[in-house]
Amino acid sequence: MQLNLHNYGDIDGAKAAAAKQIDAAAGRARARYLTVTEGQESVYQAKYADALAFVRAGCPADQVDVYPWIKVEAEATGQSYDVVANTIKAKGDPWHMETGPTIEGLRMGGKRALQDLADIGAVVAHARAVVQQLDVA
Amino acid sequence: MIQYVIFDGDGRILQTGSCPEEMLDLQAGPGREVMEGGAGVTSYSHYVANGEIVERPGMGISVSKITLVADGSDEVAITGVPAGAQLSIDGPVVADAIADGEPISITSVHAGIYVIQATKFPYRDERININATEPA
Repeated sequence: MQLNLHNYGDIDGAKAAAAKQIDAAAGRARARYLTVTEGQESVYQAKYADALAFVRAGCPADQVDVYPWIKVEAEATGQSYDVVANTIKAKGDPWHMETGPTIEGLRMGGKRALQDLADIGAVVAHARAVVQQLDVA
Repeated sequence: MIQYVIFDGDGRILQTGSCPEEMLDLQAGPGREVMEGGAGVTSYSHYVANGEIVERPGMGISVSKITLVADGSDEVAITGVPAGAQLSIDGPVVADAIADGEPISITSVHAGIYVIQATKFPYRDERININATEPA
């Protein structure tokens, strides 16, 4: 006789638990890169969007009024517009161009793959593997 | 003073003790039969069969290993558990089952120590500890 020891009522319960584990691991991974100070993350997002647009437009100093985050920070710190924009962009690029998408890809792909698994052992093994990847992302 | 054992209708020893010989019959009651004897007797090691105190037989259980990778596929095989034995599993997962007499294969997806107890009277209760470890 076969005894497969697990705490799940059925495979759907195992998949639901696995999805929660993957979401939680993605949250931990994001928390390693994103600030949790209230409101600060939205400021970083706005600054990065402004800097990206400014740099992509060729750093047009004569149009800096439409890039308020760049204009104000440059004038407040005594730096040129292009230095401020490129500094903000350089700090944000790793998250926006690689780390963030990688984490989200692991999360979404990991949860999507659960649909195709047919036994609880495979579900648990898959969740462990995805969580391990997220823990080092 | 004489030693006595009290046992139930199946021969399970419920109690041992000593009393004056003339009081032996007073030890019996509903569901409690009494007989003289009992030196070195415990409910684990002995039972009463056909009016005699005899040793409870062992199940002759063997286990393939006592560690298990909790990956849902690594198996521990337990043989020798007689059909009808009650299996009680305690650990990260708590479960009960009735053995069918066939070898028992156990897998787990939760790491930790599992205590597996097999009981079927008059066999002696058997207990196996299995350590399920996290996959590398």
